Amino acid sequence: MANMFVVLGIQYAITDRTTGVVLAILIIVRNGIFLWYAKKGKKPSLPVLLGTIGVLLVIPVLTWQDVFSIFGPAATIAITWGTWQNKMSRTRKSVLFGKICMVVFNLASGMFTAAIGSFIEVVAAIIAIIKKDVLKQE
Amino acid sequence: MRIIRIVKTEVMVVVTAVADWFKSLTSKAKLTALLLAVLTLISASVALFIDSFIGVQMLGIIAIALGVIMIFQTKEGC
Repeated sequence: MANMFVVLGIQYAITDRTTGVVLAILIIVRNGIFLWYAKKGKKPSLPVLLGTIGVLLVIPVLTWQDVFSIFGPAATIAITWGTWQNKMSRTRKSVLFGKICMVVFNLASGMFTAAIGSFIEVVAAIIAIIKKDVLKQE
Repeated sequence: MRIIRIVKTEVMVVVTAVADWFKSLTSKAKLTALLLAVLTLISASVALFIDSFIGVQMLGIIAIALGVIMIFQTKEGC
């Protein structure tokens, strides 16, 4: 999964989107930490979550370019919280919100194929919500 | 000094995770990962030296391919 964010990080660097580059690095670190906890059979502690969200709140302020700088960190905060808590229905909804933000963020950065990728994830999240939360199918 | 130690530990966690992931791959998947890495380098070179727009879109396609591979690797999606 880290590979995908390395590629996205390179794209953000080429399109001069500093927020995106910092986000990509932070997401790789976050995934590593979450994976480390998962391998131990534990959930990341609240200070770890709050620390990650705190850093994500500081990023748009330090790397402010335009109003679209908010969308990337907002998406990452939503997905971080969604993967941290236990209810899968909340995870699906936060992923949907996060991916919609990523579509906007990628389009604003001129990364059209990456935006298509995020749009595919939006569709996947909508299908998952309809199938598992609305229709209650397994 | 404590911050350096924490950062060092976190970097080691990421490096170990990547190494474990690469070791867990089958030879076919390792080949795919290397191929995608080469394609990423080509796309980044296109972006830097030829046309940034085309290079960026090529990288986007690689990101989609990685996303698809990821879905097939994990047993359950979102």
